[in-house]
Amino acid sequence: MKFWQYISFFSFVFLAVLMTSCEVESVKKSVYHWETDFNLNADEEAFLVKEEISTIYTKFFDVTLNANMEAIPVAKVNFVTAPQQEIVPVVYIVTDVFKALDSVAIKKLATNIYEQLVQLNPQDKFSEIQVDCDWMASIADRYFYFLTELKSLMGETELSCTIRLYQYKYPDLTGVPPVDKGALMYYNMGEILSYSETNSILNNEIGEQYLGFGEYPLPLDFALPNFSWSLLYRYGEFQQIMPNISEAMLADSSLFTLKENQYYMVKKDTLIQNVFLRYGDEIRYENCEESELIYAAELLSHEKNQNHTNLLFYDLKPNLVNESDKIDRVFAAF
Amino acid sequence: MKVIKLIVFLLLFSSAAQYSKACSYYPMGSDIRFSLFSQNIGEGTEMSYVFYSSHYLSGYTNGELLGTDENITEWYAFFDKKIPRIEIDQLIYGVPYEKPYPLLSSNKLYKHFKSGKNPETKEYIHFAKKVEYLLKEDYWDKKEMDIENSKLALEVAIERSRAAKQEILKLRYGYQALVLAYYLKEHKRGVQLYEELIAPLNSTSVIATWSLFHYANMIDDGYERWRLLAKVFESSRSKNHFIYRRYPTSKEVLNKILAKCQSDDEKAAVLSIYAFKNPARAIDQIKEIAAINPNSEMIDILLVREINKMEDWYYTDRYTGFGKSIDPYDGSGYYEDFKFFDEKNFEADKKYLKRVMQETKQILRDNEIPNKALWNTSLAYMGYMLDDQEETMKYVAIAKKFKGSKTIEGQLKTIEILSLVKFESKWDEKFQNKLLTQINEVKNYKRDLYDYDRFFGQIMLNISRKYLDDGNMVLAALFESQVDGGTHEHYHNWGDREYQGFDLLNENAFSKDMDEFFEGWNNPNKTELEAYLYNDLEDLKWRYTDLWATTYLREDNLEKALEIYETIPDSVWEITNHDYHYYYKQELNANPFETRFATSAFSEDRSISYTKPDFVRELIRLKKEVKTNPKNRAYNYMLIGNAYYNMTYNGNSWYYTEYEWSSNEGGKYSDRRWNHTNSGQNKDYITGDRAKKYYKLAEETSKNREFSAFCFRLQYKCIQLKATFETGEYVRRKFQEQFKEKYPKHHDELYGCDRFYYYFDKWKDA
Repeated sequence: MKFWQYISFFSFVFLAVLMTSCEVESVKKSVYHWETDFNLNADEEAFLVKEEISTIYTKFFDVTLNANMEAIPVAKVNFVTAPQQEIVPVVYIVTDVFKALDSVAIKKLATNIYEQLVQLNPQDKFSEIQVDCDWMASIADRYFYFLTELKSLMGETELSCTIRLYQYKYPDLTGVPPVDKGALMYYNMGEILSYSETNSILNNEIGEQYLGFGEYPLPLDFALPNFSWSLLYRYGEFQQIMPNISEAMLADSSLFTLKENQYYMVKKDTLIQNVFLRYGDEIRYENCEESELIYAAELLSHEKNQNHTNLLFYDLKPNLVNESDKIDRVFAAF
Repeated sequence: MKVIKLIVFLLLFSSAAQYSKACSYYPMGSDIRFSLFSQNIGEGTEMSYVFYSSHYLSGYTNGELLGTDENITEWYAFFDKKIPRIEIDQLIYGVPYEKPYPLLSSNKLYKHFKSGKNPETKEYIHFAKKVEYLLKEDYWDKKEMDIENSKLALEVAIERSRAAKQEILKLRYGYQALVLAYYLKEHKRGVQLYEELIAPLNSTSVIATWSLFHYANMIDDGYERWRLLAKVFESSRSKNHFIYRRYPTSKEVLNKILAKCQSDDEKAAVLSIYAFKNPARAIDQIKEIAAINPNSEMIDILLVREINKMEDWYYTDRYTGFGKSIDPYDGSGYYEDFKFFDEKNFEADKKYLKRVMQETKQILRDNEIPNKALWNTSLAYMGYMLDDQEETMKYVAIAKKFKGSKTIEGQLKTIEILSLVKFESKWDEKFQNKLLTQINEVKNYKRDLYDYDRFFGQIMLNISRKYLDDGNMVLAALFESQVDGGTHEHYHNWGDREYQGFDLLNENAFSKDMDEFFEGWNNPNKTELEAYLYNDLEDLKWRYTDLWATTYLREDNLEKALEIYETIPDSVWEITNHDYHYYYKQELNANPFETRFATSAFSEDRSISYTKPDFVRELIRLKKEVKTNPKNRAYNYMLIGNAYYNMTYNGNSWYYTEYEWSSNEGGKYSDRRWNHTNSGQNKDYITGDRAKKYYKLAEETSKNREFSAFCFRLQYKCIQLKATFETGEYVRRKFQEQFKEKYPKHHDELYGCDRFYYYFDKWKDA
């Protein structure tokens, strides 16, 4: 081989390596839509365009048990506006379904779900279907059988499922679902019921404990939160989530006072949003700070295990739409 | 490695289980609301969704099929009460349209039609079933509404309504036309049809009310719609849940709806829906409704709901143990704050309860309330809640004068039981006989009191807590073992309610209480009530006996503990299938005399294990040995220290004195409510004081300086344990300084485990 031939050969190899490594860097931004009415307003549409979000993971319905212990769909999505982006249907299944159904019923459930998704789909086809179920070892066999049956109906369509942090950390104990890929849910990790919890939505101190345990056996997408809620505690005991109490409302000093422990204390018995708040009740407002989200994105970036990764944000609501810059910076950190 | 991972995983899951207990299974809301005032006493079982303590989360539902009931009632009257309701139900609802009627060959209504009677009615029922079939959609949308045939059916319904000679069929076909127009989204036409076919009939039938419901949902004027729906809410029960869930809540909207109302009755109906939606204090709303429509059935249900709210605020946390983190042992420093607010809120609730009682009396005086039995029963119960025996009995007597429903009768019996226990508690035979008689009498109202099994369970819980507050552990435990029916409370046991008494005793009883408990159990001359209460416990007798002995072990009375343990058959300690909660073989599998520095479970010596009597016997022997034999005295003191230490929270044999262990105890996530030593009878479990005493004796007795240092190090374990639960870090740091000062040569080496065996072996020279 002549000198120039060597040069050409090594140049080719170099370029090939370069091209391959370019492919590794592909990360896509997506969002979850979890409302029953799919009714995007102009701001939401503009946000999706600006953020170049081409896929919306849309919850189509929940599956739960009725009084006759039959699995039924509830809260079916209603497409009020026509989606301009690709829709990936998501089905949330409560774990009791797999505790109650036998294999015959599970097989039927897979068919029912698939046919219902096709029926509700506002677009021609799906490239992916996602199943959300907080499975545990005791129902893993049934859940995995369901996934296998569902997959068998889907042809070329990819099947994905959500993975909770403990399922991610202990795949040998909880099992690995028979799907094409998973979506690691990096949120709702704290103890919502605990008075001493600081943030049950996003707590990197807890999240970190579940990461860095080796490569998960499935290609993974990642889901980060960007929502807020208020949690009501009475005498230190959790009472309920109050999703519509904003920080601005808690600033009303005639009703609330901010304590040193960051709880808003109720100053007098009052009825707010149809909840009876008692004197001394405390409200913990939780949201997702940008710095925490960026740190979470950095942590998760070390867990990437496929060439084309999706970073999903939960969920498409006004506060996400109004925080476009924040989302950009979080995305950049991933 | 895999084993460790598994343990870590299981620990993780055990904490996750606590979480999920709270999140998915932890009882909350209406599921835990304590109630001894039967929610259906206002005769509104069909409105259980507005009951404050509906127990809906625990799966209890009532009145789900009201639409069918109302319709069947009308048909029953139509056929002159000659065809049983069940047969009407079977033909109309039991057999789907697509299935042939011959399946009903023995059905009386079917035979009635078959004999040629009421052919128009037969045709109508067939038509109504067809409409239902056409509109039917299945859960998974596999059968959709048949639009084309529905359109045809609409025309048929209109034509037949116009042509029908009987008014009831005119109405019913008209109603079918409205339903079809509604689902076909032909709302304008639907409105016209109502005005043409239904309104002129001025019918009082429930079908007219149902028609009004569909009409209201098809008109454009929103406030008018809510006005009409409030009328439906007042006069029919089957559509109420739908209306209630969607009814607006803002005051602005309320005023606009009220402005549309054409009578006080209509206003009262609107106000009642608003009052039902109020989770806070609503007596002013009840007053307002009573003033304009004292005949409204809704105020009865609202009054009951108000009492149920006050019961919840008053009793739920106190009786069930859920809803508060008020615990002086939690170490969080919030105890005083929580206690302060709890007391303030209780005062406010009591003040409100007094006001409700006064207002109730006033409403009764000022208005012609139809259901006087109910209102006086309510006053009796409020009197009971306020500890006012005179008022309670006065209103019980008044209520009895009026002819109340069976539910009211059952409620009055309940108030009598509660009052007997609260106001006249003397545990003599006369009292017991009276109580047993009344308990048996309440059982006669099983069908009348709301969610009876739970209701009865809560009566038992009320009695148990009364005795617990009085410090009478025996009666508290015996009644606790009767708490059943899905009552969620601190000692609730899903499997065996009989075990609930065990848990209560385990948490609260001292040996003297257990002596008394067994004295009663072993008494051959039990009263009838005592026999009734003890009877169910027989299967768990050895478990209770073990607890009896264990209370002595906790109090360090080893001889008495051994005496009782020895009455338990040896086979009990060997059971491996966990019958009757026997986990001894599984949990008592480590050497309780093992010496170790580590507090984790990973260094347990499994070469030797004991049963409870064998262990106590050996401990007694060692204690005698150190007194009588100087040989190996320091070593034996250390072994005794080990035995006591291993019985603590950090020990390898905690199961000798406790029955449950949780990783969440101590530290940041301490939740002492779930710890079973609240009464302090097993304080050593979290202090290690006894172990420390014997380690100190070992240190002082030892003739070898290195073994003395080793025993001092063992005392440090006890200090660590106590620091976790009680004393905090300061004491631990102080002890470390003392260690350095006292044993400067050995201090550093003894902190780690590297030289453990070197120092341990020095016992031979001690």
